[in-house]
Amino acid sequence: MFPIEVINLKKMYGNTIGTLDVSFNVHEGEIVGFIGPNGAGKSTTIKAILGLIKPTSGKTTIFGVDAFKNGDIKKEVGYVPSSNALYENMTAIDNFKLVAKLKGRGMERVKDLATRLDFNVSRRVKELSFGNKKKAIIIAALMSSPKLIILDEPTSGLDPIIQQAFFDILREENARGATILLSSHILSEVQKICNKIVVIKQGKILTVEQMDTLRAKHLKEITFETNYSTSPLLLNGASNIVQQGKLYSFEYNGEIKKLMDYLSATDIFNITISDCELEKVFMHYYE
Amino acid sequence: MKYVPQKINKNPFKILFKNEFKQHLKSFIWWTVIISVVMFSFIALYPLMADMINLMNAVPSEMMDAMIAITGGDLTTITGYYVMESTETLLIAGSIFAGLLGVSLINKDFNGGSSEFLYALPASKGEIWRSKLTVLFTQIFLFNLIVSLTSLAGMYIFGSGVNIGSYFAYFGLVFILQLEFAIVCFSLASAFKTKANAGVAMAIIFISFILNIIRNIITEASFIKYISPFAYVSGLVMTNGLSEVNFVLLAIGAGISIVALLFGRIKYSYIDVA
Repeated sequence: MFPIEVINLKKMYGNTIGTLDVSFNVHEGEIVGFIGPNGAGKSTTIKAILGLIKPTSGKTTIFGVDAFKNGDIKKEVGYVPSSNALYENMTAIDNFKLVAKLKGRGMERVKDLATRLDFNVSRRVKELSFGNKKKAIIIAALMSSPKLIILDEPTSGLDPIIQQAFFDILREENARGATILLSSHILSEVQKICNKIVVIKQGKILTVEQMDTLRAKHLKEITFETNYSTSPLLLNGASNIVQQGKLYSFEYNGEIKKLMDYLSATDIFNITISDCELEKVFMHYYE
Repeated sequence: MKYVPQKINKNPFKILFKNEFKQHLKSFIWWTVIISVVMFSFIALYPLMADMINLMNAVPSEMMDAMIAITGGDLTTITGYYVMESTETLLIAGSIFAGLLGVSLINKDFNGGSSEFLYALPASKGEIWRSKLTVLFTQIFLFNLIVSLTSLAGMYIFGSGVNIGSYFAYFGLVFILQLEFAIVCFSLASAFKTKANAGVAMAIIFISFILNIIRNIITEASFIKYISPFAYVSGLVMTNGLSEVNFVLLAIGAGISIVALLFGRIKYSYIDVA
């Protein structure tokens, strides 16, 4: 039984494709990044998982339960939608009380989360800025210490300091045992926190990869400058080679020893070696 | 081992009902206060209408009988006067309140963006729907209770009082009229979401009202009484009691409401809420 299981999910909105054929699992304790271009089907998939929309065909379950048929399972779920969705004419704290009552949980975590996210709970939601509304919906999602956290663009509107605080909270939730599904266009956040990615495009899953495997495939980024040589770079395992006179930059996923042998044989006076930004890898899937 | 969600001890229906009632409390208060004040004001004006009312005694009896048959209101009595004045305010405005409440209970979440929040909480769509429907019944009942009591007070202050049974029988019909509009609008919104909006609610109410006027004017159009709910709200009930109630029309109205509710509930089960 998986926290999330999606089996051949198809969702049509009239003649418009939401998803065509989506299948993937999220295992307990994983933090999964769910990425893809606009209109790929990320939000549709998330809404189907939560039972907010009825699939045209296929199946989605949360801990083995179809949320469309059994709303009780949502007691175990904290959801941050892309829209700032609370009741606008109520204060944030009154929204939180509603969540607490329906989930049968207390309000103990609200104060701590509000402090860490720098949020005033007594304000009416309609008076809040976009970013503060986002903080409110994050608190509402996390206050009940859910087993499963589903996030759709959670950091839009948050300043960098609060974003950092938010990711720290997510790591703590995961350490506590929560499973996380994070849909985001901000690939740096996916890279930082996720241990698996699911890529969706045009309603279908392109790939499901462990982050460690991705890092191993695209190992290093190297930039070096030579004293004299302007010969073309000839190195097995090098890709995306850019040469500007004596300045060379490339990506390398071969053996490190062969790289070092090549570099030591080259007349280099300056060199930078770093881990390849996975954003570049992810961008490839958006094309 | 299959995960079996534990039933939460709290009663989600009660929690949802309280929340929904609060979401629509402001408009309920405004409508109830305004209609109550307007109706009370009409009654307060009754003693000042004495001269005009005396003129009515000069009207030929056949003409008076025809007017009473059409309007249900005999202006020479306070209850008849009340029925005449209540048509626009209590019947139409009250029905508009009910119809707008019906669509708003479903669509406020979709228009305001709270639907993704509400429907992601641990409550079934059925529980959410039932809580909204219960708020519909409760607010329309309370609206009519407050308006009727306010007006009743006025009847005793500015007139000689009323036959209590007939008075509340009339308000019972008014309540049923408003409930029928509310249920139809609520059910349409349940089925079609924001496509069944305030404009649709107003159209249903005004068309029904105009059809009823046509029915009163054109003899051949008497069949309209089976279509327009305004047909079963007869002012004669206020003066003559339950004997003036057309229970066949009430039964048709109840049937329309039940069919609308079933249709709305079934369609609601399948709509996308986000």
